[in-house]
Parts: sequence; C-alpha cells; structure tokens
Amino acid sequence: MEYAVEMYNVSTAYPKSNDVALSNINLTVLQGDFVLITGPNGAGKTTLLELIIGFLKPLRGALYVLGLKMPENRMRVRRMCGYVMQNFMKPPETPYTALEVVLMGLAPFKKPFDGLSEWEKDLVENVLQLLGIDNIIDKPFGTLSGGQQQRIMLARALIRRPKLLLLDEPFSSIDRESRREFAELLYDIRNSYKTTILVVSHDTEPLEDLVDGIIKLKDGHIVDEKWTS
Amino acid sequence: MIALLLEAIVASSVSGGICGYLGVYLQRLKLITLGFAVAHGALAGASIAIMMSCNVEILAFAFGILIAMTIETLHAKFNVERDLASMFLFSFSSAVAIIAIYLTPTMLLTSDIASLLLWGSILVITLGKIILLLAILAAMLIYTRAFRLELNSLLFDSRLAESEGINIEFHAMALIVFSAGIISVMLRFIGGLLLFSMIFGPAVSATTVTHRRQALVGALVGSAAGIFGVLVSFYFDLPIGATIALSIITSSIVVAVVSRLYHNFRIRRLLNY
Ligand SMILES: Nc1ncnc2c1ncn2[C@@H]1O[C@H](COP(=O)(O)OP(=O)(O)OP(=O)(O)O)[C@@H](O)[C@H]1O
Ligand SMILES: [Mg+2]
Repeated sequence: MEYAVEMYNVSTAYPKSNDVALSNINLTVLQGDFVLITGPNGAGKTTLLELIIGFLKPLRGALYVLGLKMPENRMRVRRMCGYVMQNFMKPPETPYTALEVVLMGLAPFKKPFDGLSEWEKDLVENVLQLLGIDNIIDKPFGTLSGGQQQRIMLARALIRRPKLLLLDEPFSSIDRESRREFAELLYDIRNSYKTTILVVSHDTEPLEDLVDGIIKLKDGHIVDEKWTS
Repeated sequence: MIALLLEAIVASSVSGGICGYLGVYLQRLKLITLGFAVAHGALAGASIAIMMSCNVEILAFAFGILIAMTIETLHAKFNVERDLASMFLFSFSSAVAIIAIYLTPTMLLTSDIASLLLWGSILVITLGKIILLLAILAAMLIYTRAFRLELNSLLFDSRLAESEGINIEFHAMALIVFSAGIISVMLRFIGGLLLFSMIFGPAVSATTVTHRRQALVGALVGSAAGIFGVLVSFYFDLPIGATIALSIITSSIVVAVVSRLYHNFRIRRLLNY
C-alpha cells in the first residue's frame, strides 16, 4: 500500500512566530484512508493541513505527500489535492457567480485558451446535484448564505477529482440534519474513487463510525490516535 | 501639428486603456505599491540612460523589472511585506534618479533634464512608440484571454488559487512586466511623477462603478480621460503630462460620483414603489 501522507518527526512554526505550532509529529496515512482530525481550538489542526499543502515548511523532520517530498514538490502536490479552507466566506460584492467559483477549481489543469470539455461539464453538473446546490449556482457567490458558500467550496474541491482531499471544518455552517448526509457522501466518494480524505472537525459525531482513523491533536502534539483496521 | 495631435491622442488613449486595465488587476491583487515602485524604478533607469546617453526606454524597462524582482525577493526570502519593500525601494529609485540627473554632463540646466523626465513632453511620441504601445495592448489582451480562468481564480482568492497549484509568482511577474513595459514607453510622454495617475485613477472609478468587468471599466475610463487630457492640453497650451493626469483624476471622481448618485436614485425608486 502506498502512503498519501508521511510525516516523520515533523515540527513547524509560522514565520515571525516564536512558538512551535506542531512539534514532533509522526503520522502516516494510507492512500484511500478516511481520517478525522480533531482537537481543541489552537491545537494545530489547520497548521497540519497547511503543512501538507505546502503553505508551511517542516522545520525539522521529513514530510512526503502522495509520495513526493515536501515542500520541494508543492506545485505538483497541490494539483492533486482539494483543499477547503476553514471559515472561507466572501462579502456580497464578490464579482463572481457560484458556478464561476466552482469552475475556477479547474484552472490549474487548463492549457492557455482552453475552455471546458463536455465531460467536465457533465462532472460539474453531477457534483452540483450531489451537493444539492444546482438551484443556487447562478447567484452571486457572496450573496449566498454561509452554508451555501461552504457547499460551493466543497463542490469546487470535488470537481478537481483530487487524490487527497483536505477539509477544514467543512460542516461548520452546514445544518445539523445535512451533516450526516455530507459525511456519508464523503464516505461514498472515498469508496468509489479511493480518494484519501483528511477532515478536520470539532463535531465528530456524524463522522465517527465512517472514518478509518481518528487523530486527536492538542498543543501541537498528537495526543491520541485510533485506527479501525 | 495635426499629425502630432493625432499621435498624442492615439498614444494617450491606448496607454490610458492599458493602464486602466492593469490598474484594476494590480489593485485586486494588492500589488498597487509594487506598481508605484516599478514606476520609480523606471524613472531611475531613464535618468541613468540620460546620464550615459543610451536608450531611455530600454533602461527604464530594465530598471522597473529589476526593482520588481528585488521586491519579490525581499518578500519571498526575507518575509518583508511587499508594501514596505516597495516604499523602501521607491526612495532608493528616487535617490538614484536625482543623482543621475545631477551628474548628467550637459549644457542644459539640471532642472531642464529633470522637467523632461518628471513632467513629460508631447514631442517624444513617435510612430514607433505607438506601434510599441499597440503591441503591448495586443500582448496583454492575449495574455488575459489565455489565462482567464487562472486570473479569475487569483482575483477571487489568491491564497486558495495558490493552494490549488496556480503559479502566483508567474502571474504577478507577468503583470509587472506589462506595467514596466507601458511605464517605460510612456515615461517621457506623461512624465515620471504623473504616470501612476494613469494606473490608479481608473481603478478608483472602476471599483465604485461595478463589481463585474472592473478591468473593462478601468480601460474605458483611462482611455477616454487620456483623449480628453490631450485635447485640453492642446487647446489651452498646458503641459501634457499634468493635464492628462488631472483629466484622469477628474474623470475618475466624476465617474465615481455619478455612479453613486445613480445608485442612490435606483434605491429610492425601489423603496417608493
Ligand atoms: N498565521 C499564524 N501566525 C502565527 N501563529 C499562528 C498562525 N496561525 C495559527 N497560529 C498559531 O498556531 C497554533 C495552531 O493554530 P491552528 O490554526 O492550527 O489551530 P486549530 O487547531 O486549527 O484551531 P481551530 O479549532 O480554532 O481552528 C495556534 O497556537 C495559533 O495561535
Ligand atoms: Mg483551524
């Protein structure tokens, strides 16, 4: 089995900060794993994702993502990832429709002058239906509610057909009833496409019985790690 | 005389359009002060060119790019904020320009050379420069068309775009190269002190008028104000650069105020019915 994420004794800090944000992390995630990352505010959950996507460098230790050494290969790695950021909200005057925002996710794969191909259009349509947002797609992105914006951002990550999906509190604005639905959707995506999914969430309940592993962070350390198989 | 006027009008409208267009991108990508620093880098380059009597445009362009690259390096390698690095190098460029002008071996007064560079002159416009301007315009249109999706993604959220694998440095550099190109061609026409009015003025009106198609509005305002400035300058025999700058600034204010009034009017109509 190949690894999606390998961290060996990784420590990192934010630039200009004197605190270590993550220290001595040892973590390996297999390709196709569905992993929940949890822990209190300030534990280092977002930092962990930023490390994986290459926004932060490991100051100590070694980090490989999808088999590639980071941060040297961050451009290649980023194209294979989908990242939904925490608290991502835009103001009403944002000049793009929801559909435009979704389609931007494909930008890095396009050659100059390229438009959308037919199968990409189909894919987009399917994803939008799956997430229940095909009816709001023509509205200005910034005028959508928090939960609607979050669904759009999830759609943007999904149409990239990522090998590794990084979700930072993707359910924070999603209503309680839909959360379980979304968790199951992620579970299905993993099963159908073997996508590795790392999801950060305070609300563990909708995910607990679906994931392969639960990682608990606190003060920049892994304090608990549970794997099902 | 008429030929000169026509050339000035074409040059001013084309460059006004390009600058207006670029200004909106620079503003949305938070590269405004970077553009400012590039303009002063170009000014330093032009001054050195005059001192050593070599090609003003080429040296202005090279210096503009050099300054931009220095800022990017300071930003990427030393974690210095772009704005801070820009203002730091802006003073550097100004100092270099002043020393170069001072050292220029010439019969002219220092203030004459300075005024040529800082205030601009209509006499420097040639057919060759107009062709150069049109080439820059064409290149920029092709660039924005080719990378439309990437540029939109950057404008929407540059950090997200970066996380998805878009090469931000490439696009920032492309915009800087375009800015340095247009600035160095127009430097002696508009003058080094007034050039950025062409970049920033239209951006002001574009942001007040619309959320969509801001770059287009910026280009239109810049282009129209450029033509108007040339006409006023000819008619009243005023310095060309300053008149164009004032024309752009006035138009930007007028456009902003009119769009505000129109917006209020529409709201009131909506509330009344
Ligand atoms: N940009 C930054 N600069 C400096 N320090 C930061 C920055 N972002 C986060 N930190 C620090 O790093 C530590 C981990 O933050 P992180 O954002 O990873 O927490 P988190 O687990 O995601 O918390 P939350 O549940 O609130 O989202 C915190 O102590 C925080 O103060
Ligand atoms: Mg967080």
